[in-house]
Amino acid sequence: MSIQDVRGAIAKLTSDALVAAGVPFADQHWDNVGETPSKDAAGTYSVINISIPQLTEETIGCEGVDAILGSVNVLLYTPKGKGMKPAEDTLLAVVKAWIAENAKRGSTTAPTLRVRNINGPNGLAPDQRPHQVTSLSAAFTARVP
Amino acid sequence: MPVFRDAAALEKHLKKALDRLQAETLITVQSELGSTKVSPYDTGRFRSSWFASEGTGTGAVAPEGTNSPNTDATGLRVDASKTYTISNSLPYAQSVAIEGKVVSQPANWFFDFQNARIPKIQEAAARVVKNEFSL
Repeated sequence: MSIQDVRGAIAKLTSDALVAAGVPFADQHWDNVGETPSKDAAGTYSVINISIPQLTEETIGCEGVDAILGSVNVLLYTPKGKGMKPAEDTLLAVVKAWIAENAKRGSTTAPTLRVRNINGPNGLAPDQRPHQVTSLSAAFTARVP
Repeated sequence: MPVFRDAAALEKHLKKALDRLQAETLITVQSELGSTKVSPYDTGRFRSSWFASEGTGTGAVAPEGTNSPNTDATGLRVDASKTYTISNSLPYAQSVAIEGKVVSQPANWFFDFQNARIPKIQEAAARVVKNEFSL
């Protein structure tokens, strides 16, 4: 098992949903990859952070059981002053993709994801930057074959 | 396990246990958010600005120069049937917690705390209360 398998599974799920909703891969910025978005004020782009803070659960009497728990946070930057619809429509596509994943049966060849505690879309208070920031976050658990 | 011959006394005992569970969770969450191991740290004002309150947040922030964990949750008369909020109202709090614009912690520090740490705090609080109230 590699952590990359788990990260890849949630990243692909999220990325594909963003592409389908109109945010091309070139405008998606990932952990330690393309961290510095260079979009002008008229453009839309996203920053996605994935972390896996827990890999095992402590148990009595053995070395612990696998319990992979992660967090994913999608930040969507849309032009300011254009309303919330573009951001909310895009992030709704991501929510639908996450929920659809939960309905799938477990796989014997790829990580099985379950996404829960979906929080958002939440618009952040505008500051001096030219973009509105909308956040969508969730926790996920993964089971690897 | 104590024996109750009066339903009202049992109800009172359980209510006290639930209040204690709520208080223990609230105090520990605030304490950990005030720690430099959890909150991003530069001057210390951010970690000092986690305020606990009944109902919605108060909008309070720590004065400039503050650099110690806030402990106001310990002073609340916690009632398990009510809602409590721990909030940080600094103008840059959303950028730090939600956008992850930090250097001293991972970008997802807040969501990791929310999703991985808070459930553990709740479990630990439940164990403490279970022992304390002989449940």
